[in-house]
Amino acid sequence: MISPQVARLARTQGHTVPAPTVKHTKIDWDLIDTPRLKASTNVPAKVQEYLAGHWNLHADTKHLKADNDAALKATSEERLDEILATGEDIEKANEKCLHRLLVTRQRLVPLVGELAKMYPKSSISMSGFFLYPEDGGYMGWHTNSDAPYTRLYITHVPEIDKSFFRYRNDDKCVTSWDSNDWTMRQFEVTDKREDRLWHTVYSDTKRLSIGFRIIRNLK
Amino acid sequence: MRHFLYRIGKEMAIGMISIPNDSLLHRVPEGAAEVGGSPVPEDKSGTYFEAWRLGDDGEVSVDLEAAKEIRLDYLRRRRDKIMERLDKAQFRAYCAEDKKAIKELEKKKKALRDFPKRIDWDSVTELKQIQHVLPPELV
Repeated sequence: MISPQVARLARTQGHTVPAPTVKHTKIDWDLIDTPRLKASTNVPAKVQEYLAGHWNLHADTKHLKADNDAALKATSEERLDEILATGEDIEKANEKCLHRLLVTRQRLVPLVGELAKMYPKSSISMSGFFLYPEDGGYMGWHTNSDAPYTRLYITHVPEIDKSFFRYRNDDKCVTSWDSNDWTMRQFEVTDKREDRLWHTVYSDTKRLSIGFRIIRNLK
Repeated sequence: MRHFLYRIGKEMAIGMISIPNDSLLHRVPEGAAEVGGSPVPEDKSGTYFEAWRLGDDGEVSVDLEAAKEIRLDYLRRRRDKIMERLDKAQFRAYCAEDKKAIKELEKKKKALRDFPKRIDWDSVTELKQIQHVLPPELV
């Protein structure tokens, strides 16, 4: 139950994710299950619980003007072809329209603790926490090749099939629509030029997305 | 600005001096090697400065084992701060005679004490991998 004060705050300064109603206890990569990329709608109940609630926007990304046409263009296959033709790598996206969200240690610690149960021999560090605005939130094509580790992204959307994660695999673009309120995607990033994983995100709804680097460096 | 690295005594440690103009060249120790502003591109912030080594050819390299020690020291300091919080929480639980909480906190403290054993240092073969060593209990 969200109080009127929190609801007012959410409209002006942050974003609120509703509490989970469906419990999942095991990861079944039901959407995509390949060595390079996996996707699942079975986001663990505890993870949903820790991500539920209100999140404040970072001050420097509060005022954004989303442009749906620009977002669709920046995340198109044609745009990727233009980038690839230059031969240049884009480690971090230059083109984007998104809010950064603030997370306190008190909220991050239990979430990482839960992820540690899924990845017991790994260091886990947060790589990003974003809210894509509706009407054209996006992060342009990039590879993250400067940090070649496993990435895990957990997303929540209030409306399904209005946002996607698009990536290039075997010379083909694959569009993975957010067809469920909660989705988890795990993918392998490499710094090898011939094997970069180009990826991008588009959203026409308020899409919350938290990302982690999963590095297998523990016993 | 001109930047120089020099060896300190007979130790492997090095020092760095930057001078804004040549009138201060007399401050640069003899034998110092001139380097760019970021002599170790993977360590622009100088976090692992204590692990930098100056070769006879004036080239700068990083002693990976020394860099791992620097990271471990940082993680230990981080552990100590978390441990202090847990100690306080455990004392409150003790005063409240909450045995379940005392046990849970002791479990967390043990994980913190044992964290160095969990690190697979053999998998860390480059400097840029060192900053990603962060056991979840130290988040």
